[in-house]
This record gives sequence, C-alpha cells and structure tokens, in this order.
Amino acid sequence: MKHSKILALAAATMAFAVPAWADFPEKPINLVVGFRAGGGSDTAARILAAEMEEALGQKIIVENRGGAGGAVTTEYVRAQEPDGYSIGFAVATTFSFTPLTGSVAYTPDDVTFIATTHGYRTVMAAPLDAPFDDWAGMLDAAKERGWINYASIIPLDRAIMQYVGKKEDIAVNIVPTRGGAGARQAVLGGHVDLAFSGSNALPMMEDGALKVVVALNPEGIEEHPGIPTLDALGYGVSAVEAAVFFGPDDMDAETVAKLESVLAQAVQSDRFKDFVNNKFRGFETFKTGTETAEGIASDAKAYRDLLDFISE
Amino acid sequence: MDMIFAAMLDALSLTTFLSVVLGVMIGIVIGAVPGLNAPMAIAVAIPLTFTMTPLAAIGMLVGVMKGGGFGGAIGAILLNTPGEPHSAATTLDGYPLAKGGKPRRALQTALYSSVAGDSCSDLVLILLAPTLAVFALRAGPVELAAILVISLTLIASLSGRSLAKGIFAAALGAFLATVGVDPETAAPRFTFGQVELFDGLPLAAVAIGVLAVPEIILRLQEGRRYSADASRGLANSEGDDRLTFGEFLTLRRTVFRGAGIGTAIGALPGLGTTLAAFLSYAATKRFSAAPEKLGTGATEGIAATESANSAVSGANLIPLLTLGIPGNLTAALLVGAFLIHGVTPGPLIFQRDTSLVYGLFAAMIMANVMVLIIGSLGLRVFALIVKVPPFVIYPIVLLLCVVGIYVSQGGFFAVWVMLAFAVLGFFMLKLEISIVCFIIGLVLGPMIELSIRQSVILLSRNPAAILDHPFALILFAASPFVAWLLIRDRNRLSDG
Repeated sequence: MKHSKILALAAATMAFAVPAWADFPEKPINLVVGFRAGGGSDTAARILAAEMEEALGQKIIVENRGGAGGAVTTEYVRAQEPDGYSIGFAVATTFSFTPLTGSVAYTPDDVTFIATTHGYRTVMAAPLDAPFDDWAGMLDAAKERGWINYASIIPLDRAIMQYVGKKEDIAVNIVPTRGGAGARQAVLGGHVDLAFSGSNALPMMEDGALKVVVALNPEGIEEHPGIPTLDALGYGVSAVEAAVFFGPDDMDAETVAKLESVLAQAVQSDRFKDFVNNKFRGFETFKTGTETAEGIASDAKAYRDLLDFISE
Repeated sequence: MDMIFAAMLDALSLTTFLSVVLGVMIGIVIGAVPGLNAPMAIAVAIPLTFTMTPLAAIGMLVGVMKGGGFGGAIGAILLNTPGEPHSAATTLDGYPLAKGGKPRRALQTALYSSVAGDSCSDLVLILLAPTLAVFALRAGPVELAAILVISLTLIASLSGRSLAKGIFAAALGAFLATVGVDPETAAPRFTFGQVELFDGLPLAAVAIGVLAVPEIILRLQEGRRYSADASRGLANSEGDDRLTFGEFLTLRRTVFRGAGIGTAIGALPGLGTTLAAFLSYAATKRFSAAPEKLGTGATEGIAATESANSAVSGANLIPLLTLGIPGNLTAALLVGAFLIHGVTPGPLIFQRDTSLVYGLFAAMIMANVMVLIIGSLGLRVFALIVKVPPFVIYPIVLLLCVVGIYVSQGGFFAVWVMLAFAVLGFFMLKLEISIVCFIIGLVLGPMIELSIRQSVILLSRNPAAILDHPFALILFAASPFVAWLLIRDRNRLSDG
C-alpha cells in the first residue's frame, strides 16, 4: 500500500518534470515495418525489436504496413510526431531509388535516418542448362542470338539491366515477374535466360539447381569469390540495398542518438548475427543515421545518372 | 527407408503433437472468425514459434494452415461471411443448407471433404514431390496463360441466370484488379496518388467487403422481424441434421475430383485456392446427376469446393519444398518460417534435411487427423451459432470484420476500402449481379494479365517459338469449343 503511494507520487512528479529530465523512452515505441509479416525483412526487424526492448526496458510494438517496397510505411511514419515513439523500418532503395521514379511524394530529406542494420545481397541467376557459365558467356550468347530474356522483380534491377543492354548493345527482353517467387520459377523452369534474385539464389546454386553469374551488391559474395560484381566487371553500377531504421523529419538529436546506440548494440547479438549470415544470407554492416543519410544521397545520385543514361 | 520411418517416429513426440494440436486449434478459431483468415492466422502464429524447435514450430504452422482451411468454411457456411475469396465458393451451397435447418450436416460435409482432399494431396506430396515439381516447372507463362483462359471459360458456367450480368461482374472485377503499379513499367494505375494502392486493392478487404458485409446488412435489416418461425425451423432440424458415413461415401466422386483438381492447381505455383475451388464447383455442376440442386444447399457443392481448396494447401508444398517457390500467401509465410528455423528449401532438401522433411510429413498427417477430431468435437458448438438471433450475432460479426481488416491489412485505409466495397456488394446483391463472378474476375484478372504480358514479351523476338508450347496451344484452341458447349448446355446447368 505504502509502496504504491510512493510510486504514484513519483509518477506524478515525473509527469510534471518530463521536459527537464525525461529519459527517452518512457512509453512503448511503435516500430512500423514496411514489409508483410513473416518474410526475411520482417523477421530481422522483429529480432532487432526484441533486442531493443531488452536494452531500452520498454516495449517495442511491431506493426506491419507492407506495400510499394517500403513506401507505404514511409508515408505513414513521416506523418507521425517526431518524438521517437513512431519509427519505421524500410530499405535503402525506398529512399534512394523509389523517389526518382516520380511515383511517391517524399524525398530522402523528408525523414530522419536512425541507422542501417544489415546489408542485402542480390545476384543474377541463370538456368542450369543455360548455354553459358559466366557473365562473358552470357554476353556472347546474347550477341549471337540478338536478344536475351531477363526476369525482373523491381524497377531498380530493371534499370540496371537496361543500362547493361545499352552499354553492351544487346537487346534485353525484360519479363516482369511478381515477387521473388515468379522470377525463381522462370529461371528454374528455363523460361528466361537470366533472372534477378535475392540471396536465396545462393543455397539453390549450392544445391546445383541454377547458376549465379554476377552479384549486384558492391561487396560481392564473400563465400563465392568466383562470382564477380557488376562494379568489378567495369560497369560502375550496383544495387545497394540495406535495412534502414528511420523516423519522421526533425527528430531530436538525442533521441536519434539513443536509438542509434541501442541498434548498434542489437546488431551485435548472436541471434541477429546468426540470422543475417546463415539464414537471411545478407551481410553484417552498421551505419549511423548520418552515414545512412550520406550513403543514400550518393546512391540516389548514381541511380539518377543511371536513369538519365537509359533514357538518353 | 528405415531412415524415413525413424524420422517419422521422431516426429511423434509429445512436443510435436501438442504444437500441432495447438496450431490446429488456433487455425480453426482464427479461420472461423469473420474478417480473419488462414494467412492471417499463420502470420499471427509465426512469432509464437520463434523459441520452439524447428519441427515443433513447423508442425504448429502446418496445423494452423490446415485448421485455418477448415475454419474458413465455418463462417462461410453458418453466417455467409467468407473470410477469403475461395470460401465464397463454399457459401454457394453451404449457407443455403445451414439456413435450411441443417447447419451440422453442412459443416460435417465441409469437414470430411476438407480432410479427405487434404489427405489425398498430402499423399501425392509425400510420394511424388520431387518428380511433380520438375514437371510443374515446365509450365511457364504461356502454359499458365492457357490454363487460366480455359479455367475462366469453364467457370463462366457459374455466372447465374444472366450471362451478360455475369460477364459484366467478372469484367468489373478484372478492371478493379488493374489498380496498382503496372507490372511491366511500374507506372501507377488508378492509384490517385495513394501509395496504399500501389500493390493493388487489399484483396482481403475487398473480398470481405463485397461478400460478407452486404450479407450482414441484409440480416440486420430483417432485425427483430427475425421471426420465431425461423428459429423453430432450426430447432426442428435435429433429426436428420447428421451426415452419416454412408452418405458421405456417396460424395466420393465429387471429393476425389475436387482433390485431383486442387492437387494439380496447387502443384503449379501462382494459381491458388480460389481457382481450384471454383473449377471444382464448375466441374461438379457439369457432371452432377442433379445439377439443378447445386446452389440450393446440395452437400455435393460443399464437398466440391472444400475438397479442392484444402487439396491446394498440401500440393502447394511441392514447389515450396523442392524449389523454394511459394504458390500462395500461406505458402510464402511458410517459406519465411522455414528460413527462420534454418530450413532452406531446395532440390536437395530431402537429403539435407531428411529428418525434418519427413517429420514435417508426419506432422501433416497428424494435423489432418487432429482437424478431423477437433473439428468433429467442435461441430456441436459451431452449429449453435445459427441459434443466436441475427440481431445479436451480426453486429458482432461486423465489428470483427472491421477489426480483422484493420489489424491484418495495416490501418484504416483498408477498412474504408472494405466499406466502399460493401456498398458495391449490396447493390450487386439487390440487382442480382453475380458477386462470385466479380470475385473471380478480381482474383484471376491480375494472373491472366501478368501471364499474357509475360508470354507476349517472351515470344516477341521469336513468335514461332509458340510452337514449342503444344500443351498451351491445345488449351487455347479448346477454349472456344468449351465456351460453345457451355452456352449450349446453359439451360440444363443454370440454377434457374
């Protein structure tokens, strides 16, 4: 009885003293995930949320608002109060590429970046019975026949392949597919010559079900050094994809710093590392909010040049 | 072989058993709640499995999937409030039968057909998965386009009394399905600047809005006029409300046909349960000895749709396990769960994760048995729902629809979509425009669009390559003939 009175008193005092010595966070934080529940991105976000909960001593309420590659969540989060209690989880290209397509109203300047927590790896895969084994072979085959069928998943991989087609003077027949499953089906069934894929093509390659001819992320595929990157092949383009935590514009610097440091700690947990390396098969990387913003700005510039080159 | 049995025996541990049972119960309950459905049940259950052993976790999710499949039929049959597009097919006969005073009979038919269809396709999965997967892969965009076109032709026989109204409804559905980002150019279509619409109209919200909400409004309109007569009618029903095993056996042809259609559709990724359920229903109508009874509460109709849509779920695991290609949303969620628990789908999965794969098969069989047992025990309780006066139950159902859509589709936007489509559904109901055709157009429209556009692009540089697709050519050529047959037989088949 006595205790509860003291607690009530303390709580009342704290309520008055909030602006002066409030220790963020003092209530649960909403984390809005830009992808549907149950996928690889969502799982990573939920593991990190569990780690953050422990470090912050507050509940993190994870909510999924999937759609348009994170754009739905971005629009939602940027309309919330910048008090740190509404934060979002999307990917780098949600900010570096999607605004360039002119279909969304936001730019990277309309949000506060908190941190980059891990990287995605993307590749181009070919059917097992394709008449080539590597990138050069693919180009030869394409030149000989005059065209190549390519299964695309997102506008960025489409743009990159168009760029390659223009540089190499080969006709690229771009077959749109819905999600990774459609592209996977097209390449395994041999209905296309080449397909964009996430890192889930790697275990398929290791099982001997398909060939991986090139990596699109600039880091390449560490465990398979034989797979070149597009960058290394001299094209000077790449798909930089990473998981990004962000909040509404004009967040308080201290709040951002707090979330940033908690995330920096969360990505070090064994559970998260195991998920990223062995299950998701992405790569470990951590960037602060400022570094994330800089990276996205330079990516956006590169993509702008890429799109200009295609439309010339 | 010894290894397989050892793995299966391993799976028969108490933990696995309990997690399967828990999964089945979660699935039945969430599936049965109007506004919620099986994929939502799985999304809810995945975080629960994070700390479990891989086999227990996957067993539980399989339980949820199978329980949800049957649970979905409960709302469709008892309240005419389907939670997923494919359940709309089950309402065609399920609801009239329940309303006619035989709710338990309707539920029993759904349960037995569902478990039978599921078991057949599981058997195919266990015995033939790797072979079938390779075969299914040969179906590319051209073949899928052909299958979809001929399926749509077959399903057209469900257009109700007026062919013109049926075509109108399907075209409207297909048109609304074009909302969203263009698959090829990524240009937004009919989105009016709403980012929420980029991935298309939220399907669950549209389906529940157009199918379930107008029904709720109609029942509420009756209000307290809901007379004592109706309840007396239900009370009288106890006598022959039960479906005997012998009676179920008379449905065996329908159930096997449904299971066959469901398994074939499920093995081909990207077609899905809605197509299977309606295709099986159309086929049953075609081959039934008494086609005029379908749509008025025939057990045959329920058996056709439930066996087919349940068979899809087992067969969906064929491309999923061996190729990592999920056939529908439920399967896509399972891939995510496999990933979390360190199981990588791929052609070597039977060698790499032997004990887990065969453990999964054992869990599937266990889940089928549990759905049968738990479902049978629950029948009595579920059937009581029809005894609750409509003015009590339907407001609750409406609330559940709103909450379910808000939670699962992420916010109020989807709730508004649901309500807007409720208005559309209400007028369609009043004007006797087939809502079923609308749903078919909505679900199949994007599939047909994508597969045809893919085919055109693939063949654009070399049109002669179409000759490499003889199967597709035969189906395309057969479509007009099938259409002619169906129009000729319309009088016999139409429910009027």
